[in-house]
Amino acid sequence: MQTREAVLEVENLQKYYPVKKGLLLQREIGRVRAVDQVSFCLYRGETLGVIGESGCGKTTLSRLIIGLEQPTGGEIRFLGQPAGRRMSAGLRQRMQMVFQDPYSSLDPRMSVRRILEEPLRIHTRMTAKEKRQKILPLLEQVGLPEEALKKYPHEFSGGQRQRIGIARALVTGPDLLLCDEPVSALDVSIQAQVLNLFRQLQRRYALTCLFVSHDMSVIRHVSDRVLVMYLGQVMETADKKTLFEAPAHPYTKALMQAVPVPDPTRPAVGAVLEGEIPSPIHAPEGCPFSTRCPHAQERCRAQRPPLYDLGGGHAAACHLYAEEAVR
Amino acid sequence: MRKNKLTRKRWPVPPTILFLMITFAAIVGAALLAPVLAPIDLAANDLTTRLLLPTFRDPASPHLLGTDNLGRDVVVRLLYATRTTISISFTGMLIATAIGTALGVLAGLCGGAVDVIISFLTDVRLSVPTTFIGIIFACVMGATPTTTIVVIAITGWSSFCRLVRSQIFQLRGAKFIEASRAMGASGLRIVFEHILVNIASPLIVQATMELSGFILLESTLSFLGLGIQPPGTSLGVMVSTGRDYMLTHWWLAIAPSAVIIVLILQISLVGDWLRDKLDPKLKNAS
Repeated sequence: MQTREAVLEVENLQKYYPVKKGLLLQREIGRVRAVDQVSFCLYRGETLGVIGESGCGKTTLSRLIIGLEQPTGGEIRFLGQPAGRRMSAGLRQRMQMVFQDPYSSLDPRMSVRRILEEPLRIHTRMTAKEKRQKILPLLEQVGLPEEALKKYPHEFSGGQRQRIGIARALVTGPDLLLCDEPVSALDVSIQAQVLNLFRQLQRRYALTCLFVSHDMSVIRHVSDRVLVMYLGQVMETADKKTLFEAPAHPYTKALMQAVPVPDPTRPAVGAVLEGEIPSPIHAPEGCPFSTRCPHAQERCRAQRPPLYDLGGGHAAACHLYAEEAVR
Repeated sequence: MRKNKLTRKRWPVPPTILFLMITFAAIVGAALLAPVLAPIDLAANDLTTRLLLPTFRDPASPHLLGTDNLGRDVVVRLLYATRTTISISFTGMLIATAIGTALGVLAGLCGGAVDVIISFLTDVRLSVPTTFIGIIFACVMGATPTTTIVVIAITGWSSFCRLVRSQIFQLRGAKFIEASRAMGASGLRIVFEHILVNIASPLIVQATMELSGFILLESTLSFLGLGIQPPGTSLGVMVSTGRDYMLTHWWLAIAPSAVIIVLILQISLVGDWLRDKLDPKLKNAS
């Protein structure tokens, strides 16, 4: 395998939110570990899907990377330089984000032209004509007519708005695109359209993406590699094929079984996971999944498993693989 | 620009509103052009023509609304008075809006201690009666038009500040602000490109609503003798001097009062209409 250029390196990233109690003299009674010791690497041209239940820290992860939140610890390196809140304007321009809610992520008082030009206004000093030349091909790419430029966001449907959001993120020609649940606010039929558009753009611009979603089928559709998160921690990471066909971690297995199969003749699989996600304030001592895991042993409750390397870029944080691991 | 476009789209403006706007423009226009329409010396008086009857009492009288206690034509004085009142309250309104918006933006965006201090100042301001502030300023600065503008600005900013602050608190959670931050926009750019544009319409509505209050405040202060001093005139001054002749020459007080009432009605009704008009939800509905 040839050496690939790492666009984004995340190392031991942590984000803790203090939980405070009291009216005047607030004392910290605990911490929510939203993102806990997450490490991964994203190479040029690939799409990493981040999957997990709600509240597992996947959105916080993307917000940390783009610098909307200050990490508690750890390191983010983008194109070899430290990224996050204080990254330089030049670096920031190379990283863009598509937001979850296309209804509130576009300013209702701005025309589509001004929305699309916003990144250019922030980062460049282009003339009106140059800006127009920049946004017109993108508008066509995302399937909107030129007349759309004069309109305002409320004149568009959810799917069209998300197309505008995607076009806005691509205007500066970013090296990294962060997608935070870009289709979860849309109807299923529209989701498919937007995802297909996304696939087209991926191929056309050789995009490097971090794609966050809670939807297994969405992740399967768009990503090359997948990162499974649970309670702020990485449970398993593997290329898409391995993860969907031979998942290693019990949590991933449970997730796979929870995906509904569109075949009425197949008997329904009963609920595979018992219980609720533990509150992240009182996260379990050892493996975060130990409270619900069918294979949980004494060791799992006491000691947090590291990510065991299973070879071929496959790694799982589970003590079951302690022996198999390639050391 | 945007507003013109909307008005054009929704043409016609309801006839009542159009009527109000035209009459308001006519009154303000006539008042502002007073020195051209009727160039007089405000201080000049002629006791031989004092308290002449108006045309509706004596059809032979050349004075439409008669003359006042110093023999000056009431219609001409009304023009000058309206001119003073409107320019003072409008200037005061602009300053109050600017101060209120700036403080509101600061409170809303900085939050924390800044917000606490500004909100406290707002509460303090609201707890002191307006007229009381007027009296104190008139004592310290002297009763001049400038003082009246200062009093309007100092008493008027608080409602703008509250409005802007609450609007910003609503906006702060908006994803498009966050998106802008993620794109690398600076705080100032976000304020000018997103926040001010989004709070402009409630602010304009608030300003029109407050303007009627400021006209009233100017009149109140002048009526009490804390505002405009003779020989200068304002609607409040005219009501105040006309009051002494209520029994015999009631129109001397009623005419300026009527102008105040008409101005305030026009502004409030147009403001009401503007509020509905600029509401994005109502806009989307059609």
